[in-house]
Amino acid sequence: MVQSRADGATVQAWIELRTDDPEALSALGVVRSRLDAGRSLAGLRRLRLFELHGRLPARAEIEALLHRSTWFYNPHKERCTLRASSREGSPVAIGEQAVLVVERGGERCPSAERWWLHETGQAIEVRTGLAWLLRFEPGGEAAARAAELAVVTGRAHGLLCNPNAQDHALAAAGHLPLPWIGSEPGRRPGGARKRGTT
Amino acid sequence: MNVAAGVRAAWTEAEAADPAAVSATLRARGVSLDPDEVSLLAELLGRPPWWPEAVLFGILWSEHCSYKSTRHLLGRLPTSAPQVVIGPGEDAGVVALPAPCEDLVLVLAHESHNHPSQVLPVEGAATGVGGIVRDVGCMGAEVIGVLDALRFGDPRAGVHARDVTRGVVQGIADYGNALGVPNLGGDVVFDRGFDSNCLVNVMALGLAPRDGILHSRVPEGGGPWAFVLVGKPTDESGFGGAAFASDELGGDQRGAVQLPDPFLKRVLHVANAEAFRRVRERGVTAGFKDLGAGGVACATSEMAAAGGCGARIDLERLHRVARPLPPEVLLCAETQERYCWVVPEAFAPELCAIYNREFALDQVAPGAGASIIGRALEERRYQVGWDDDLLVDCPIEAITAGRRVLRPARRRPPAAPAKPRREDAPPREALLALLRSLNQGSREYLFRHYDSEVQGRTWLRPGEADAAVVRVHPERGLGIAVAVGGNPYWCESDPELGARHAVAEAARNVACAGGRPWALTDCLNFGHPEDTRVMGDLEATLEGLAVAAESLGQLASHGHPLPFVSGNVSLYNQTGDHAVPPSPIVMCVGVVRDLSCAMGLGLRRPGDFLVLVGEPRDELSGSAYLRDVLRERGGAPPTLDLAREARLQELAVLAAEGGWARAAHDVSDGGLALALAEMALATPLERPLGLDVDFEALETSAELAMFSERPGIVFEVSPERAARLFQAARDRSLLAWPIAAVTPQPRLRARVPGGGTVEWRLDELRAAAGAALERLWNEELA
Amino acid sequence: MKPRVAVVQFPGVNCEAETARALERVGLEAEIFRWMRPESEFARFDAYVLPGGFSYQDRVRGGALAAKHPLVERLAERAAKGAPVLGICNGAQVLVEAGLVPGGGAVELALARNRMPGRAGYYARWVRVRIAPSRCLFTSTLEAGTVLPLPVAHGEGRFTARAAGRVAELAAAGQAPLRYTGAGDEASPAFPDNPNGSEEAVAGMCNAEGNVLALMPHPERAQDLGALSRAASGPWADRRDARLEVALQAGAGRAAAGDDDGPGLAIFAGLARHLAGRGRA
Repeated sequence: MVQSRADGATVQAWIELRTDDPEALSALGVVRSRLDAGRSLAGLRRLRLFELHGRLPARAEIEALLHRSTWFYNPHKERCTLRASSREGSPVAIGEQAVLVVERGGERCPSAERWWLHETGQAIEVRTGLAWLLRFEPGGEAAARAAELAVVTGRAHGLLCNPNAQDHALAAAGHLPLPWIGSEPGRRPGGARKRGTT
Repeated sequence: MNVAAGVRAAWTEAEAADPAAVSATLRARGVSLDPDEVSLLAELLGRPPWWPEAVLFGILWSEHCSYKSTRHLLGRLPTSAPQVVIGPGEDAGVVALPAPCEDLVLVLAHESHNHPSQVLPVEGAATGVGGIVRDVGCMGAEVIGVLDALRFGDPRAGVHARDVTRGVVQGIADYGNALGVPNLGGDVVFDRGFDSNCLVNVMALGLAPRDGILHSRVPEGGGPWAFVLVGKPTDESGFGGAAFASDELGGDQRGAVQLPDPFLKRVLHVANAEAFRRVRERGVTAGFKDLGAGGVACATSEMAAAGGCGARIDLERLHRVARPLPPEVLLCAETQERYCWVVPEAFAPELCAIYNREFALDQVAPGAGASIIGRALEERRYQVGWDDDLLVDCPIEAITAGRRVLRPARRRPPAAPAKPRREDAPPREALLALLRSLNQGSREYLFRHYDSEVQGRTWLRPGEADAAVVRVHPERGLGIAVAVGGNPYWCESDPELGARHAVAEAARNVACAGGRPWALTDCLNFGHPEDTRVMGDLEATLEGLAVAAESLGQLASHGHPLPFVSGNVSLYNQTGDHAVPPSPIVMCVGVVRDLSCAMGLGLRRPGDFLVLVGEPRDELSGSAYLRDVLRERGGAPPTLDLAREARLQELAVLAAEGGWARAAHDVSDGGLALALAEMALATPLERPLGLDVDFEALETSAELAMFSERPGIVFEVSPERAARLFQAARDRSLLAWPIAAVTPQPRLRARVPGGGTVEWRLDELRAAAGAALERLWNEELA
Repeated sequence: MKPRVAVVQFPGVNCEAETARALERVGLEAEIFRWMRPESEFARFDAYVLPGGFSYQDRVRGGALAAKHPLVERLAERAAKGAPVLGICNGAQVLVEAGLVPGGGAVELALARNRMPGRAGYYARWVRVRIAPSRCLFTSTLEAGTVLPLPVAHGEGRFTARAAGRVAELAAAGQAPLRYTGAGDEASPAFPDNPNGSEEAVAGMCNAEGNVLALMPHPERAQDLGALSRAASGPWADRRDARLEVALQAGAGRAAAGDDDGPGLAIFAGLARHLAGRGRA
């Protein structure tokens, strides 16, 4: 059941490991050595993205709540960056291509929503997805390569999203939508989402 | 990096005049040495220590590593019996197995990871499993099972208590499942007493060839010997963890928890197995030890000390993370997933190649691998070098000196038996209330998180029998049964009697599955040793454990105690004035002579009888019924006649081995009524069986008959075998009652003294039993 | 000489030993093939099993990284020539991510995160699977309609496809030889009989030729009759109970001689029969 997005604000929480991310390192190694489109991939980061939607408190209080809860991130090993408007900067660095991967039908976080309601008395929606940030060596069509790596279509093509169970969206630094998760492509003018193609 | 800082003296000759001030200054810099230890260390070295030495001894002499407050008490525990191959002292204990598995030994270890799990539940519990698996693995064993005994706060007490519970379960599952070691159960208790200090005890079992045990020491003679470090690249993680486990929780201590990597650990274990094979095939003599608290420093110095020689470690040879780290961090960090070999220098390159080339650990975790980091010295000195500097240079005697701190103890009188003050509750509602309670409800919701079957050895899974049962070898019928015991309510009101019960319960569970109790491990989870009451409780607990173990060893070796072969002490489980209840947690392993006679707890066949062997009549004190139904403090535990208990366990084992009984279940938390409900609930969902019960047969009041927790065992017997069981009970002066008949109807129907007939449908019992844990995972209980 | 089967060991798998044992029990020669071994040695085997576990720690998705390993390319070549390939649990995830199931090289399916009321993540339990008519060689010794008790243990086991109806289409085409079932014969059992919300209750999916099977339950954990879950009921449980009864009558330590084959062994027996009948690939 999706509530109307007309009411309330949306805040993004970007979560990144403080240390080297073994998952991103493994993926980078495989992409570079096995996939044609990945030979020029120079760097790969993995961030978890939460979008909180509803009647939200002030930014500092959101930060404190996220820090306190165990449903969002672990401050001991991860850092969290909030983004409350599309004008704000994002963790996506200049030159990076972002690939968002969302479990189809599994983007909502009922446990986190329940926790939030219990702590604040406010019912909000929490959605989550995984953002892969790709940095390519200069001299190529980065966006096209990112698109090719995004969707797995065969042994030699794509990795990050299996379109049979996951949706994905692409964005470049500086053009990161807010909200980004779960909005229907038809409903957003100039929608950033691309459905994967086979 | 400032190497000079590494070799500076930790304090000057002038400062040494005031050990208390030195101690305070060190503490502020994260090194725990009390004033006596400050003086002792300078005396042992003949000079004030250098900074890395202060760090090393701060860890070696921490409570966690040195048992300085408790070592003198631990001598009370019986540790020898003919089946013991290695008793306490190494990373794990080792016991021999009977025919047809004489060529194999069973390796056992038991640890706590309480403080880390309270602070960072997922990582804390995961590294707990990681550590215990290393303890067993480093004896040259294949790890075949882990268990966990968990004590959590009341989930209604606050969000953190719930987070700890869910996080610990997730940590155990994430790590253990990926590692490929089956989870063989354990237990879990929720109580206010653990609100600020959860307990996470982890246990592991392994199998090794009898002639292939690796010791944690530099081997005798031969040489020259090389130290080879294998596994994850050393980083700063967990720095100071040993000191951390020996201090009360407070402030933000999250920096001391290590980060687990089950993927690397899995591959490392496969590589270790190959290394074991190679070492045995080639007849190479070797020592092997896991790295835990104190990291490289503790592992290498202890291996040298145990081998009666010295060691020279060159830290610059360590494989480590790229970022620069001070040498004392490299020396003492608790980076996970590491082991240390000692092998002949000539074999060291081949050993390194297994990890670096054949298994390419570097591709599994960047920087992981094997490196030669030092050599054994004939001279009994322990030296650590860093390029051209010497960071540590001390006599081995200083390493082995050991610390002893005298802690005054005050024993307290045990609590009086409690009598229910209120009216008794209606029996029908009382049983449902017990099942609905967090502590007596079904554990199935938890078990489903865990892989209990990987390796294909598991014969009886958690929840299917009183003890989990695994097969030792695919072509042989021998099995191992394993279970844990420890009732915090009983230990709180009477530490000594509670401890006796902990041993008896663990052994009884093993016996109910058809296992001969073979060996014990323990962990003693207590508060501050400075608190005289805590030390008094600890003394009483050790007395209780010892007395019970001395009485229950006859099924393994006649005339011998049931030996404790490994154990651990966890102190400082205390916040402010509030210590956890005295919590000895005991694991018992048993030998099932033939798997075909292992007994489950679920009912098997309509028309069979249930026979209760025990004396359930005279006590309600200490029961879950008092706590969870009548909401009263439980009071003292039921009495325990150890001689009678030994005969009861013998009866269970003979009933299994002789094929007299089809199923068995012990009477414990929740009493006979709960035991019977559990036996019915353990039948297959699609082919449920029920019971016609006659509580009147016990000739006592309804609540005593149903809910007394005086130990006993319920056996399922066929009509034609019942006489044999009764006779065997009589021969052992044990009272036996026919208590129920197995029926094909999915219900429990009972004649209750003074209450006519009461009936429960199996599906309502099942719903009640499953409710508590499912709610805990799906609701924010206010 | 016995047919040779490679048990392919990617880093992080953890069921290789018991899988090899199950293969040996049905008369095959099993060899654990480590990921570091030269690719050139890979083609020498008559059949391949990808055992369960956590290859590459399920990084990115279960099976996703192992599916890119050069050995899987060799595996695809062997499969195309008809060599039998069985992927169990994590091995099934690899086959799906590699496009070997349902076949043709395109990634047409996913083994998505479990959907379970009241819980999330990893789930371990014994379930029942029913054999459906198919060309799958691994179920060739079993009549359609046969029910096997088998354990599942995974967090990502839900067969699904982007194209609506695709899973049903594959099932109708005989490519879903094993389906979760309840106590009756209902077509779409609910949780926990269907433990992960798999479409069409598919537990195992094969390619059109029937020589490649992606199977989520663990047959190698059900190779011993005596180790059958006590929660299981039906003919296999009856057989186990009968054996226990014989042992009970015989008394201590005299286990009944005879057949101790558990239900899971049938999957490996199908492979053995195929290899025996067909000669070497």
